[in-house]
Amino acid sequence: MTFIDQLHSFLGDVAAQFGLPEMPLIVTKLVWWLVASVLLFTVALTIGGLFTWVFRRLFAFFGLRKGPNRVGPEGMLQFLADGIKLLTKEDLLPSKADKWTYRLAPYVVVVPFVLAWAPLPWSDVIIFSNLAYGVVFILAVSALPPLGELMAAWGSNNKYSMYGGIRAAALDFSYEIPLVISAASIVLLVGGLDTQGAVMAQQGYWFGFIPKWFVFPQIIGAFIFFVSLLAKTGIIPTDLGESESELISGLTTEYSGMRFGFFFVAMFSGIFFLSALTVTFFFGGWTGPGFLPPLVWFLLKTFGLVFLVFWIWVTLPRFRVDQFLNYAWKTLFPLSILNLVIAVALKVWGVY
Amino acid sequence: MGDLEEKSAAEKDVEEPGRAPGAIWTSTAKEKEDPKAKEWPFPAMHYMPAYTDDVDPLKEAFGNDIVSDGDLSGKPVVYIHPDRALDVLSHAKKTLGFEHLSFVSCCDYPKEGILEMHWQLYSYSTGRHLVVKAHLDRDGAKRVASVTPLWTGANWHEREAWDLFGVRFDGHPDLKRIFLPDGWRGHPLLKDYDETEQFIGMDERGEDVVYDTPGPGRW
Amino acid sequence: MQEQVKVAARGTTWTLEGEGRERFMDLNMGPQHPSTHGVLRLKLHLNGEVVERCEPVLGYLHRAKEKIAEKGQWIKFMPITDRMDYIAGIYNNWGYARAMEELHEIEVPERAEYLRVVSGELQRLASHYLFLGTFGLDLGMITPFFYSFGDREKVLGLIEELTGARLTITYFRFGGVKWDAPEGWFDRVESTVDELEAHHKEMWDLLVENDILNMRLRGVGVMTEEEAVSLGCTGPVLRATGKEYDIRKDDPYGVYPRMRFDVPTETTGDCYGRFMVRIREMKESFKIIRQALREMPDGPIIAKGFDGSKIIRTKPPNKESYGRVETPKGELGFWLVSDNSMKPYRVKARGHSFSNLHCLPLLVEGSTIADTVVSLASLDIVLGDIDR
Repeated sequence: MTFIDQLHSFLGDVAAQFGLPEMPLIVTKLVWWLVASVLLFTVALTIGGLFTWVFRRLFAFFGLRKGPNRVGPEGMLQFLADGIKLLTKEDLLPSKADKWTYRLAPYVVVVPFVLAWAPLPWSDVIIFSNLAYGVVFILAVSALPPLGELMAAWGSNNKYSMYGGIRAAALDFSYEIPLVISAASIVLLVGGLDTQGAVMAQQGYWFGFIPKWFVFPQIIGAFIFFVSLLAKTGIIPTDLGESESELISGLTTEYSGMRFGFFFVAMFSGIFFLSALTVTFFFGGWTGPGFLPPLVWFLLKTFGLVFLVFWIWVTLPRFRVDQFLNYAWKTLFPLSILNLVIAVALKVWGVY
Repeated sequence: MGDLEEKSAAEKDVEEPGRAPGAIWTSTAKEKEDPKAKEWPFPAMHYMPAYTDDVDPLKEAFGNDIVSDGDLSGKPVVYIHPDRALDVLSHAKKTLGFEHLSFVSCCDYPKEGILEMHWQLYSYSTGRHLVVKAHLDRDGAKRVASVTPLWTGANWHEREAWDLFGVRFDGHPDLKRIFLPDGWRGHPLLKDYDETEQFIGMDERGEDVVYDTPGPGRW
Repeated sequence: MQEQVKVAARGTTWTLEGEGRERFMDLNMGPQHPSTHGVLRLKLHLNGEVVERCEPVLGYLHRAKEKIAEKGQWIKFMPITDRMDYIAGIYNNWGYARAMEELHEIEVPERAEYLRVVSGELQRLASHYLFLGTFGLDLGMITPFFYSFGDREKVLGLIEELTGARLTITYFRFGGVKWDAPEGWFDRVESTVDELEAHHKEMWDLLVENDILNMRLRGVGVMTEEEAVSLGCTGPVLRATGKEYDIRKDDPYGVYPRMRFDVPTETTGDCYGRFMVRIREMKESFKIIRQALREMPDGPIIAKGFDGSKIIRTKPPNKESYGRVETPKGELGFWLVSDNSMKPYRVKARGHSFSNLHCLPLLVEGSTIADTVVSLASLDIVLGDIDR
């Protein structure tokens, strides 16, 4: 009996008590989907919001400052205050903007990042939707934001936005390829397309103490995946679409209020999501010694990676767009092919 | 520190005959030996009359075009005929080695009826200054040759002089106002400029007004 | 109807011209843009992201200082000079004071000259710290901004203790300085300089040894020595091309002949060279400050006859003079014309940034927008000096 059936019979019992007729199964499914997706959105957006606080505190720490520390405990509710501020700000529409494209773009950017959370395993039991083809779903959905970026760029009717959007889209397309190839080598080693399986495959130890993480045989793949992560989230060494000092925030130049907030949340949510994905694929996901629950292991690893991302963010200068695209096509792409060859060799020799 | 002293010793050995008496080279080695360096004020601070090492060859080369010479607080000044400005400055740059043009500017003397052009030159190789001046008729056409062929950097200085004094530089690639809007009337640094005048930058149809721009724009 | 469409196209949407694959676009960078360091406006003519033509448009900060100078007494122009290069106000004072001292043949007391050197080199440090911070910011680095502004804060604190002001300082007078150092100030300067030197090492590691920074700066915005000289560039912009020229050494003033320091030069002439010259110059400033503190003599701080309220009645002889100083950004000169009255007849300021900015089209034409920002930042311009 699946979870949905259990829920269906429970809801049927509740309905019978009130003398209501029995509902078809599809209603139960719809109710569950609604609840689950609201939960998913809430978790994703809250984490995105909370991460603005984490980021600002870390950023202040790196810059010898204090950061937000007034609203709530240690300023933790600062993101709520910011959210209220953004919600109550005027939603400006440039007079010559392409109205529908301009208004839709933030959602097209933010929704894929939220959807992609669904097949992500938080622990051995916590997973929103254990899809059999989870890896494909994640990669497909996380390839959507460039569309939103181009929409924002075109809709704003601003030359800087146009440059930013085209840069961001070019970057995302270029880094999609090494990302997918390095994910493909993981799929090859796992022998399946579901994310939970990828984590399961990394359980256990070599020689009793080295965890069987894919980062060890697939070190090149992990590096490629991490760099592509940076490129896709658009943070500072690679924030070519935004590039504050060149393009005046690029594609978000004309956005105000919550529409701007969506881009912001999408970025932070994306950082967390892609870090979590890297952890799932290369650092054993929620696996770990038994003295801590799996969820804590997963969060610890993810936060560690997020910390690294933020560290890079505040330390490094921005690449020039041609340098970074060259890096994708001339360095990372051949490396990812090499990585795939290594994965094939490992499979052929029977290591996995 | 070691490198520095070696370098300074090397500098000391090289005699520099062309150096102006006002300008002194310093070096660590020299300072330690020379008790004069501890004196106050320095020799440099005694205001010497201008040296004429560069004025004399200019006079030889141009004869009557050099109207007179003078002294700008220790820097030699030559007054030239405005029509020969480009020739004299070209000679000063190419033969006498004045590579650095500090600025080009003007000073207005309405009582005498002249607008004084001022070219401030400096030579990196000899460390000497030279000031070249020319008197234009302030009520006339106020035309003088542009020195942009000699110093690219004169471009903006000449635009500034056009903007604020209304001097027209012949041969300038892009002579237009640099600080003030294109619709400005008059040249503010002239002594008889009417300061109460109000600037109106557009006409009745809302188009930008452009008065009297002599040069072709680049755009 | 046709005409209206054309006007709308010019104002609001893309301006495309050319045939075939060549498509050009005009882009206004500034006057409100985060990396034009004030209200500079660049008209860029772009082919894709490549800058085909670049034209700086000036005048958004023009305050007619040279006209203002003719309205008041000689000394009344001193506070106004601060507002030219407001990042390094002391040097504007110094240039004006030097021109006046040459004009009036004032002999400056020794202690005043030493105080000038100490305060001036502190100001040079403050200016270079601002450069490092904003340069990092233009490249997308955030942390150097906070580090360097923290250090700049310390320097400004010292200057505030000495002069009572932080930005527009007006510390110099004709023939000396206004205030003597407060008690214990020299010790505080010394300890602060030690602290700053330790931090400077940190900044060096953070910036100079960064691979991405090197990628972004090397070979960008290249200028040869001949071009730099012809364009009238001075200061670090000139020294980055290999020309060892520093007014403090070559046309010395004050007590600079006694100071032992090197003139850092680079031979590359690119953004990296300009950046390196500045960051190495800071080390020399530490040296100069230490030496000046060691040798600080006692005595008066202002020349006889120029102290107190007498200064407002200064009547220089009927002469002209040109005095220039080496500021953190290049040669700043003042050409003064006196007609033996209490007011200046003509004051002309030769701005360092005004001449240095002129090379921008040469540096950026053919490079991308990103390199334009870097080249502009590496010139370290300040709009108050350009527009005056």
